[in-house]
Amino acid sequence: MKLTVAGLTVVRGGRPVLQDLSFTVPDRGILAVLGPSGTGKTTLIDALTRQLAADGDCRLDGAAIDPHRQHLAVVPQDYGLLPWYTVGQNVALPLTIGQHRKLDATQKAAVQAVMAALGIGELAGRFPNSLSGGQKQRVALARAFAQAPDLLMLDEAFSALDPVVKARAYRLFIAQWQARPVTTLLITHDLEEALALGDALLILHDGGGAVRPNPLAGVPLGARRESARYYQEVAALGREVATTWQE
Amino acid sequence: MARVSKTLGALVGLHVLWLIAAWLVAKPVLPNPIVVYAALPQLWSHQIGWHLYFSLYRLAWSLGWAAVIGVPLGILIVRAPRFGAWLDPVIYLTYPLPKIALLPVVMLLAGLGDAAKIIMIALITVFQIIISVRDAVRQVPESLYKQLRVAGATRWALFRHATWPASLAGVLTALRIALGTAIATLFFTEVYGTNYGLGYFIMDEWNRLDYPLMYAGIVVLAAVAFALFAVLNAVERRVLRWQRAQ
Repeated sequence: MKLTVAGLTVVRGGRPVLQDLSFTVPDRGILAVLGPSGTGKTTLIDALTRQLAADGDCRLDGAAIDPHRQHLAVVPQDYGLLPWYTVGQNVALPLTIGQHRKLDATQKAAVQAVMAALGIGELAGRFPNSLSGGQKQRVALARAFAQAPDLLMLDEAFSALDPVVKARAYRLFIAQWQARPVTTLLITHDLEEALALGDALLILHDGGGAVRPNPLAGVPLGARRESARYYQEVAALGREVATTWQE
Repeated sequence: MARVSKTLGALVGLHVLWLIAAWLVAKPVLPNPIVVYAALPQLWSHQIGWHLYFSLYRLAWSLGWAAVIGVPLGILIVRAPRFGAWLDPVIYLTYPLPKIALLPVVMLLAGLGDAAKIIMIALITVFQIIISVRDAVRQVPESLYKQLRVAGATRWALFRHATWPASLAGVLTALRIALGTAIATLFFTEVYGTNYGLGYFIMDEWNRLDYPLMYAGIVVLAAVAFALFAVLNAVERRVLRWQRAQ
């Protein structure tokens, strides 16, 4: 589904956090939204999902975004797993929430398939408290993909992982995304992550910013980190944002 | 299994201490456990079943009311901020008051019957429940609610999947703490205005100077308290097993 954001403005404490922000993400596109802490990255997700009051127009395939009408999935930095539910229950929850029925056979099969693909099939009966950070992250990804969302939002979803676990998480995410492509907003402060996963980049500054193509967009997803140009582009992007991010 | 053997060990240790204390005091006011246990069969002819029934009846109603009132209030303080802003300071001010001092007032208003006893115990324990539930619900990160709202959760779904499971931890913690307080208050309230209840039985045997039976009553009261704690622990282990999964 095509995501269209027009004139999005969010004011908090009398200060505009997002100001007249406009961008589009094509169907099955991945937009990496970059910015240091406090630039309104998470506010953008809150505004899109109608968690807070905002001016502007946010649409998915022309329809105003509404969590009750469209399938939205957010993977937050702390993974947002309900500690009192098992891994299996957490993954299945978005499919049954607000409904007084259990999963049907198709949904059950979809949940099991996603969990198996992310290597957490064995953890179905465990509680989140007993999992490692990497395992929690995979559960959160499984929960997001299992509901076949119309819009997927990753809010610093990889930032709490150590480099080895993070590399594996990227591989698993890419495999899942390629199996079930979905319009995606990748919120991150990590330039390498933005270039490795995004089709396009949006660098937030002073509450606004414009979308530009990822210089590595021509390299297939999953092969960018091995690309000869990868670290050159990371360095170039780093030089570019160094001034604005330090302000 | 290790916990059972530890509990049994503690029980044996307490009885040994009791035996030594009885031997050192060497007076009828402190009979040794063998004498007390020998008096236990006499309890049946003293209607211990009815005394037990009335005590449990008062405990169940008072703790039930305390939970019915305390759990929603504890939740509302957090989830309904306007209401919380008004109620929280009231709880803060009234929690430290020694509510047992209100016993004469409660008896004047509710009479000498069961109502006054139930109100008194509920009045003392409801504060512990409100505070424990409030603190448990406060610990639920806003990100969990956000996650559920993004998935399309209604207000009922938010309550069912986040607020209620979180408050259960507070309820069970509070009930465990409140149980001890409730039994102590029960004993105190059963001294007046009744001919039934373990508190009445113990004080009655004290007045009759029948110390072995008085201690037998205390043993029954202690056994009741222990059994209720064990039941609460079992419920907690089952309901809050996610907390131990670390």
